[in-house]
Amino acid sequence: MDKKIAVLGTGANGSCIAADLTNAGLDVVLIDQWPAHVEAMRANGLHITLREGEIHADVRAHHLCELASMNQVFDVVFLLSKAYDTRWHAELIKPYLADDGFLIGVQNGMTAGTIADVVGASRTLGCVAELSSYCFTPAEIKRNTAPERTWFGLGSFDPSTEGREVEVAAVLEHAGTVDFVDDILAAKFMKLVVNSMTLGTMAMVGGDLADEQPVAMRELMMRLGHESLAVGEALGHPVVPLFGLELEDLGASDELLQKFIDKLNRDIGPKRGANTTLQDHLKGRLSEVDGINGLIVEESVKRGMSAPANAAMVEVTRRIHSGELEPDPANLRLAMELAG
Amino acid sequence: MGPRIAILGTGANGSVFASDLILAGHDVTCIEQWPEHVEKIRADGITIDIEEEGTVVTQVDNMLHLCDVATLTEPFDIVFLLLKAYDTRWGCELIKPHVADDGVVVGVQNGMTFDDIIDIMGADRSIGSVIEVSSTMLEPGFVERQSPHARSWFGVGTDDGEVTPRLLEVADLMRHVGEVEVVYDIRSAKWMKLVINAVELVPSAVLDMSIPGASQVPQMRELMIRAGNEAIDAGLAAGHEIVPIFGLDDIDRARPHQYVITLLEKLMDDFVLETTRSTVLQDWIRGRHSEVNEIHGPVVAALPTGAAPVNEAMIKLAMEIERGERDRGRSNLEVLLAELAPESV
Repeated sequence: MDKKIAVLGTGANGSCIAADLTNAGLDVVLIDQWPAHVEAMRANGLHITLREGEIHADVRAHHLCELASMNQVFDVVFLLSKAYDTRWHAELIKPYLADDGFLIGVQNGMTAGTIADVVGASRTLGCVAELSSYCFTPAEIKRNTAPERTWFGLGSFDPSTEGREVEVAAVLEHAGTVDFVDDILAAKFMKLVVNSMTLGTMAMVGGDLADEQPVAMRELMMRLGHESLAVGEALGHPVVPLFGLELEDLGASDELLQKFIDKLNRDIGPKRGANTTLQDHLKGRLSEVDGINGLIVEESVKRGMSAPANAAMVEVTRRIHSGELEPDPANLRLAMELAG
Repeated sequence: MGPRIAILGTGANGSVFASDLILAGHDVTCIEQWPEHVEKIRADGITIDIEEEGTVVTQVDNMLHLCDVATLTEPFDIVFLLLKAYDTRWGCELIKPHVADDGVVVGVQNGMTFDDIIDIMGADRSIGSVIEVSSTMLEPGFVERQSPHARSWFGVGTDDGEVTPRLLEVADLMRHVGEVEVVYDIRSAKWMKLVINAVELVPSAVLDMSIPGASQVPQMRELMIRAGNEAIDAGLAAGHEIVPIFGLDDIDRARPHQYVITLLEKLMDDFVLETTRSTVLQDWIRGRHSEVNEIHGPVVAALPTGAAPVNEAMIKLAMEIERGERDRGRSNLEVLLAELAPESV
């Protein structure tokens, strides 16, 4: 394969994918906005620790500001920035994307439409990822989901790309299992439902998503999930399976929400460290909660529905980002009060 | 309390802005994509050698890498965007979540970027600007400013020409950097700047010469003026008016080609030094993509096919240089002359 590949946004998950593709012998460059991380990757390569062992990759890492001197056109770009950085990253890479190339958001949130808006629907596919990792030290990544427990759903949402999913799958399968998904936007929404239950909640209490949660936390999660599912239904997104589950596995809504969480717990495993939102809180960075729980609130308001639990998550998360609150188990009670 | 100001793009001209606004006591946050430059400024401030004025060192309290933007919690009232024209759209998308509802982004750039800014920010939150400041970044944290305050000029204006309180506030802030005029047709004013850019930037860079140096080579001067004539014809074809910039007040709107010569002479007299290298040449020296498409592209697009041969030739030659297929140098004049038939008048 002689495709020119870029991974744009090589935080924790981007680094995991980039390392696997590099070690598979593909032509991959990494482009990232964190200078110290780029420097460390250049000096020592990427060092990824899994429960099952370690991965080292001698990667070709570049800082964003070097794009203007790279004189490169890419065939496949995987975008792993935060969801809220999607639009500017898409604009940034657009001049360097081949006419028949792909820019694919391997992200949480409903970013596929945003990407299509910038680079055109014929140059993107939808992607859902189940990949868990974290990074607090430049070039040092902890990966919870080994490649055999990493899952990607990939699919077209525009007729112009139908049949070309295999081109991208042939690349991405080096980092995990790739399933083709018929209704990829529904799948991305279903992932957003799961994210709306797990990311902000576990981050605000500063803890792990473990099998056993306090009753109040389980209750909050289920309320979040039901509000999100209701919005999905209003948007016309059918319930679809994720993470390699089958539709017949899912059952009624309470059951399906719990099944997703159980499957996540199994795949990611115990002692996983901070989730993506808690990592943001600890680094003082904006989290994706506005694009996840915030999106549910926004779509609810538009439709005259209500989503008080999601609104509570947005508010608690805002207070943490502004410095009014720290991640703490006591925030669960606050969120329940705000949710009414 | 004064406005919260961001300088997005703290390169040569961005550093000049940052320094002047900080020294005037404003609340300024600088955001920059070149890591070494950020680190140097954090450690030692911005050092600017100003022609006729001397060296100024400015400490910058809020100097951010791009990746630090996600840690911001307070919105900005005024963002001065001093990125390359081709970086306009992503710059706006990056900063948009951090601009107050009644805040503005001011595009202090070459090129017809104003409508890209409006497309992203909305007309009410966009201000266009014409900039004439010559400066060069010599190394991280160190800038040479060749046009001192008295010989730096800006035009600023809104989408519909309305003079809003925010526009006047922006104009007052920019008066710390140079002379500022409020203009009522900012797109036409920006096109006039595009005309002089088509004359000076790429033509001097392909010869690897300073701007005055290239304009003193007789056959080159002729080509530069032809590039400007094409550009002003293109502006008229695109519906723009001939408007004064650079503080000129007595221009003959009936003779657009004469105005090209007036602009070139004003540029040489007031704004550049004998050694001033164009921003395009500075990009090439650093191995970076230049604004060639944003300068000559709109000129070619606004005229019928084949009606802008000099601008087309500049794009072709510049792209060959950027792809590494050709060196810059005096010999490129022969290449251009061979390619371009003499002007048929």
